[in-house]
Amino acid sequence: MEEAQYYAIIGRGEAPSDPSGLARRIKDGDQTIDQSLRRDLSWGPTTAITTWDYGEDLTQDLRKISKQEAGDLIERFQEKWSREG
Amino acid sequence: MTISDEPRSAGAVRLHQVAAGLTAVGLVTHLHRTRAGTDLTATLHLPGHHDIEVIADEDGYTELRYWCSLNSTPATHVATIARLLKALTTSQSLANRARQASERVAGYDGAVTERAEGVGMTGPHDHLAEQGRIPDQARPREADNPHDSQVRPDDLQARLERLPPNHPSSPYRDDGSRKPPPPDLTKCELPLPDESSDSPSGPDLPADDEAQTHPDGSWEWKEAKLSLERSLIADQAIGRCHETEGRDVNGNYGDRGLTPAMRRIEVQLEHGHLVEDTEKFALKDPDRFKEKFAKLIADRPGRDPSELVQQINDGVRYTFIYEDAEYSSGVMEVSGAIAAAGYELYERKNAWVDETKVYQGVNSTWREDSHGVLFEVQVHTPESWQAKQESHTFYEVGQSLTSTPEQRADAARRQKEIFAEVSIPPNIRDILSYRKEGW
Repeated sequence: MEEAQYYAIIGRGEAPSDPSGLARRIKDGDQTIDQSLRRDLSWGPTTAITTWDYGEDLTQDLRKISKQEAGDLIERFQEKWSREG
Repeated sequence: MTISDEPRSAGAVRLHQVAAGLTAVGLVTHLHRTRAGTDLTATLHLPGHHDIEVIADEDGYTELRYWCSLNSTPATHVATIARLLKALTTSQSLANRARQASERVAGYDGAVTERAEGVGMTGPHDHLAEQGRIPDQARPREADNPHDSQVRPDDLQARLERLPPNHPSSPYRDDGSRKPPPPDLTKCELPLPDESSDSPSGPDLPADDEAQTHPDGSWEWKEAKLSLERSLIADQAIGRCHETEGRDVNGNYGDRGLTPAMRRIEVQLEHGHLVEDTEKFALKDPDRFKEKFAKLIADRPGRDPSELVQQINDGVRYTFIYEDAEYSSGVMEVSGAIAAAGYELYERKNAWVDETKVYQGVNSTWREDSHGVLFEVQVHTPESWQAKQESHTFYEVGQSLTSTPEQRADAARRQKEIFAEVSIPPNIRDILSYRKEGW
């Protein structure tokens, strides 16, 4: 059974309510796949979650969010990025 | 501009006009009248940089000579040459030759030289031949010129042979004797201080593990990619890191820069010290910097890349070591010393007290104001530093976009096992995490 945990990616200088990226960790049995949302709204491989789990890097933070919050964030990104072109 | 005599041919008149134009744009220009014709040399002096030289003759043959900074990456070097070629190229054949040559850049193996011999820069006679015209006979070479009889007229070497003896590129001395051949500079090359064994561009790595700079100037390593524009943004940031770190082009240090400052701070410390080979590891490998930048762009498409590159805090980095007993007070001691040296603390994270993380140590982000560059300072105990070194291979597996989920899971497990063995120093909760307001 596939399940996903979503993470808002919050860079330094960014408000937690205004993240600049979205990542997800999909677990399917023993398999774990980490992905982040691209500007074309596709999902691509990422090491952001692994880096955050390790805890050494001070470039960005991740915050666990629900699937509903992730959906809202994708809508916000879609609107913002289509406006920016 | 100095002119030795009045021009005697249309080509010489034209060269005089070129000299006047170059002088007008700030080059120091000289014209030389010889039996073979008129030659021009012009030099642009730039404070703090090598001179840029232009050499030209009546046939239109022109050399532009400059030094590439060793602080720049191969991608910048290629991009600069590509821009020059673009400016020069009206001939599609030259563009194609440049493309073929640059395809060899990332995997340089000596074969480029062989190809280059066949490609050779088109000389004026080649140009005439392409147009179906006979070579210009208006300026016949002197029969008593010993140089002309020895070489082919369409060879680049021939151009050098025909230069006047006092010309800096002439293979002849003023007295007409031949200069010794130039040394093979490749035999004099030393590895750069940041070319450590973990550099992804290392010659011993298999081809699929090497960072690539493509003919269009874009950069790629494994799944991390940067367009030419973004690669150049990274190159500029890497250049700022090099400038801030303090070493000169020969790898030597004076008083200025972060590394000399850290060494001065080290002397002030009561107990702690910088790790061995601090200078070797002070600068992040340029390809690893680009990899990190590419990941940030991919993961955070909502941010401008030129802003993201400024958030990379470990382009320059240092590690101090304190024994367990002095560790907690030592973290604050070294923090105070860095602040007293004029650097601003942006963030300090005490990872020892975060049980959700694998890593153990105190990392901090600082800012050097004159270049606007962030740098990182880590403070470890001997054990946590050793654990970091031991687990580095697994860290790399976790950070690679091409690792499989199984490889990542195994690497994470091994990292946990190694750090779990590290003793926690006393009074560790006395070290407070900090983040500058707005950061």
